[in-house]
Amino acid sequence: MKKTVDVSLPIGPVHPVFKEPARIKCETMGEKVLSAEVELGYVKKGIERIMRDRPWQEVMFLAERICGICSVIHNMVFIEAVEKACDIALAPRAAYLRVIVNELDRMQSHILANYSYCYTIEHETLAMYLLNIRETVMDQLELLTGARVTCAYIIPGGVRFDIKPADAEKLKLALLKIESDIRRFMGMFENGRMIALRSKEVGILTPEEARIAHAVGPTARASGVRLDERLNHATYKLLNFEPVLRDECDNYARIMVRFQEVLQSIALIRKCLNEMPAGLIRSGGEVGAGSYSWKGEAPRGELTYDLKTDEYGRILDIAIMTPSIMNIEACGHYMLKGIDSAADITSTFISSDPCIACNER
Amino acid sequence: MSIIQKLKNKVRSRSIHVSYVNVGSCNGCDIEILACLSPRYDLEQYGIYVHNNPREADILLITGALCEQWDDKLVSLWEKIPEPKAAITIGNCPVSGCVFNRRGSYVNPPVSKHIPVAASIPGCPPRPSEIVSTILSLAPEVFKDFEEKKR
Amino acid sequence: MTAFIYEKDLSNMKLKILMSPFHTRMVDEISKKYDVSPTRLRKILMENFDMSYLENLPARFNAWKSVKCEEGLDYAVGATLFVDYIPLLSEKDAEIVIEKVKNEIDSGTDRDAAILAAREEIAGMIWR
Repeated sequence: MKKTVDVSLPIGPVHPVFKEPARIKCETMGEKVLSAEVELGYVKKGIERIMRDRPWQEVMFLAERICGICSVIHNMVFIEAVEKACDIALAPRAAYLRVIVNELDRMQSHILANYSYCYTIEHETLAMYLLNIRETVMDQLELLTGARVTCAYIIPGGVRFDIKPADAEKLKLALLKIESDIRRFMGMFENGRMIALRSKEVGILTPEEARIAHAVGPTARASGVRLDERLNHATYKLLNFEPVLRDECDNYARIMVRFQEVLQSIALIRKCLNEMPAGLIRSGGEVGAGSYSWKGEAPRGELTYDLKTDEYGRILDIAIMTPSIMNIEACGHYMLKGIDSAADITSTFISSDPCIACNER
Repeated sequence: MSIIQKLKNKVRSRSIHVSYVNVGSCNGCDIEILACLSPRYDLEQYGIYVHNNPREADILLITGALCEQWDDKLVSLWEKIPEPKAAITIGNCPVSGCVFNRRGSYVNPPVSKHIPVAASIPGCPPRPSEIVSTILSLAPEVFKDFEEKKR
Repeated sequence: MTAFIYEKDLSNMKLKILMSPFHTRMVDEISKKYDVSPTRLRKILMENFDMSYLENLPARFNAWKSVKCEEGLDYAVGATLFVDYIPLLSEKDAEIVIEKVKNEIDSGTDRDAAILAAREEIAGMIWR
């Protein structure tokens, strides 16, 4: 960078508000941020390299461990890509169960993202409320899949466990509680005057910039870009899914989009529970040779798996593009530029829900 | 045992400051540490405070399989923590590299090559209750009579 | 003190980012189109961009490919690619190149030949 500035302000890699290590180097003039650059390499594990030439049974677990926060969607997109490459039919009941688990995962991820943001703007009360309600969501995830984080629930042709009627009742009760709580917290966030001062008109990402940096997920939808891979997914089409859009383009909009999507996920899960057909949760099939490129909507946005298998079910070639890559880049080069106060750097960075582990793989 | 040592033991048993650092994990263990903060597990009722600031920490929680950038930084981070201190590794990654320790990957486990590790919690990831109970059982062992033992 | 305390040589890690499959495909495509060696292209990219930018290059490249220009001249030459999406060129330089191609096509040069010449010129500007 050119040395035409007052101070070069490095933040990180270990910082009280960062869940993960990354380093933001900001060039500042007084309090104003002129430009920022993000330094990575703290969690580069080379997962794509070790995935190659391994049987799909191993790659499935590796795919899940790309990101611990949104592990279900990595599992889901990888398995769906394998299914499509090898023409494995999917049991109809399993398709709905997948959506239920995926939406639960999205809920906990969004609540965690909003927790981080509230914690960063020092609104600890709201943050702790959100973290507590997240535990209720995690319980439901554990009830369905048997594990809290890396559950390996989705397998080719179906899912591992069926949902018992008693568990479905428990899930419905928990959803009622989550919905009423989230509505209350959303009201607190929406009407909080101090929150508005810290969030509105901060970290602007215009739709044009979002398109150039190819921002995805809630970050793009808060800028009014209609981009959601769930629109192309067969099961979500049956559920008449429609994405949440806002046009404020700032930190406030990004957090509100996530709150609204949590409520939307609750509605989707209810719809799934009502419409789910009876029947088997697995169908037969064999993983053979084929190749496919498939996209899915992770909590943070569009997730791409491009893979090629051989006749023994080994992964010959795999390429992964995760949503955080685009969002962190959009955040670093467009949102952070022109922020009026150095105190807003961290909150703006967190508002784009950065997941460094996804980003670097 | 001197009175001052007794006083220190008493204070230290209810004031354990924790910092966590991710040296290349998948986030799974990190969010389980975060879950410990939630009112359900409520770390602070045991006198454990998570600051995530190494300079005021007593216990360093380490997740992940150690990536290239951390080779020098982890040691300098460890040196910044004031005595008495202890490091706890969380998950399989800092112990063995877990699924990432394969030919061709960029990780460099175990973490104990670089800094002394007092305890390890295996699991992929371990549950929040396991993390809390480990901190609670390790901290008194390390901090009790620290000055007298050193002499 | 003038030096940063924690500054470290990042080129090795930047290279690791560029070796991932999507990046390899993108580098191959660009280097074929502009007739430069992939190694040279990687070096230029590493010198000009920070790490988050490098990670995002394939997404940006795809975003550029998905934007369809009606005229197709910008698209064929790739001027917008190197101004907006992978900013290695200044807007002024790109305008000069586009203007030149248009003039050449108007004066009767073959369209394909003119585009090839323009690509070469862009490559020359970036890799000088």
